[in-house]
Amino acid sequence: MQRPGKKILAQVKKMPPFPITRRRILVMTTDVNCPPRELLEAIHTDPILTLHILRQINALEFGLAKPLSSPKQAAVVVGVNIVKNLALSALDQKPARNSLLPEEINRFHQLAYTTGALARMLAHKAKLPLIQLQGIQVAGLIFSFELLAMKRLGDDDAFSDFFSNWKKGSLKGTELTMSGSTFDHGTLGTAIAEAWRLPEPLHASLANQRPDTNDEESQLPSPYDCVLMASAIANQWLLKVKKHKLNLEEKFPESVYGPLFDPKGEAAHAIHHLWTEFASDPELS
Amino acid sequence: MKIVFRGVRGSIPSPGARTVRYGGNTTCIEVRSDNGELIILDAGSGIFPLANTLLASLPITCHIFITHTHWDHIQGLPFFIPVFIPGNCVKIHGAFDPVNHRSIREVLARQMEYSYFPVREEELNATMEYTTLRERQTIEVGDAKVTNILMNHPVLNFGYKVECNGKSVFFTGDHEWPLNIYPDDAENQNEMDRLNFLEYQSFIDERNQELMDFIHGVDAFIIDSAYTDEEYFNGKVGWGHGTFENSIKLARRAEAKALYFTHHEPTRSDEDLEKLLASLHERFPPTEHDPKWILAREGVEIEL
Repeated sequence: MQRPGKKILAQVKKMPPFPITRRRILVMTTDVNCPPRELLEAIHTDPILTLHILRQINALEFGLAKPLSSPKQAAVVVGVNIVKNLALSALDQKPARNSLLPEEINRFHQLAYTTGALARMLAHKAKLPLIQLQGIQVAGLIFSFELLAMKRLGDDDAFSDFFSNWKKGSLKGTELTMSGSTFDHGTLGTAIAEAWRLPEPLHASLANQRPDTNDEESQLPSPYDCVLMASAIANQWLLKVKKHKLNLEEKFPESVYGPLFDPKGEAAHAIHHLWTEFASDPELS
Repeated sequence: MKIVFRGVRGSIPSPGARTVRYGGNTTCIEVRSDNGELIILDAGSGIFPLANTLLASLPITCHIFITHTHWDHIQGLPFFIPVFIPGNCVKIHGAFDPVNHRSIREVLARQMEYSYFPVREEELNATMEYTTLRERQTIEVGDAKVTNILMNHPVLNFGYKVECNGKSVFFTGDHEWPLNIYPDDAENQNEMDRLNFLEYQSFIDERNQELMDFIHGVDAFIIDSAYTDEEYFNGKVGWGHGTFENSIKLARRAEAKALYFTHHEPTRSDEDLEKLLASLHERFPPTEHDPKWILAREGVEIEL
């Protein structure tokens, strides 16, 4: 597999946020007193906008001493107004040449949002430190980002295959590899994460690799385990196969599986709650 | 090390009888190292009176550190007379503009464009040097060193710590200590709302600890105290400024030796400021471990 060059990364950089996010944020920011909470939560539903802000915040020329992993963390460190203006600058991007179909946008948006929210809930359930949760949510949100990026780059066949398989339910759990693609799953993600100086767990999420620093002996699930499992659950949930057995035992070692997912259905309940929340938002649904 | 307040007013110059004692010029602080190196924190209108004192000792070399580029912190720069005189060397340091992708030079040069000022930045006769700073970058200035840290304001703002021979001063520039955007109501919140609150608070606690570690033990803590708590919570949240009450808490926590309230609100008179200070002493009786609380006042010189 070839490694994406600067030209490709520049194209990815120009990806516009989802139209629905664009509308919501443009409307809410016409009010100078727009509540920071509403703004930040709107940003956190959009993987492209979130990545755009993190790319700018973590850019070398900006010179932060420590990279940041979520727009909410950025709001505390540099102030909400800077996050707002970075978001607005992203909304100025011209629409992509290879625009997505509304159906594709919807499906990707649902997948991203659900994976992110689930990853955070699983991490909380696994008792990972509070300060890591937002980063894990963002990692889930951007987990399948490069699928969207490939569409932007004109790799339509690979993208269509993915959605077609997804609709048919033939994608099992974490199998997101696209046959015939210019780059394998993770190659583009790795290039993006490195070029944009993204911290863990965002780097691992985009690169689709367990981070080197992960202690294999640890009894606790890593942030990346939470993201991976959230992706598996979200994929199946969005296919509306609520009763489908997830077979997580086969995909994850007991040390990871145990603390995150219990057979009594707590996680399933949490997913249901999340989905209800998502579906009740007239704009998101 | 010596410090002279050249401008202590926030937002807009406010000359007049009501502000004559504490001063109406916007932010500028002159710092002299033990060896006489000239460090200037911000270039509000207070840099103009400072410039006049420098004319007797030309040529000069000075370092100007810009906390942020809102007007009240840069508006004096085009009137800093040494920049027009050959032989002087003016070194300007400040932050990158991440939204418009501009270096500190590009941002400052704009206020000298044709529409705003008769002399272009390219036409200045002094040797002009610019450094776009990274966070926590230390600049050596003779026997002093200046290190920055990011603060919370509606534009990128660096607070600066100047250290010289064991003494130190920290100036916040403009800064609002971040508030949690989620309510704290443990008894009535569901699990998800509670998680939102605790999670956001973890960012605030971590950041505040980093700031406290950076400031800890400074000899002079000069802090944006534009509002009272009452003013702040009645319509000023999110404007990027601090309060007197919070400044006292922070100075105590940082174990600063002296606390200087600055960025005085432009409509606040000298009398208002003094009444306010007296009421703070009543409401927060100073203990023997407390720093001195002082209203920053234009022209006052402090020896550390």
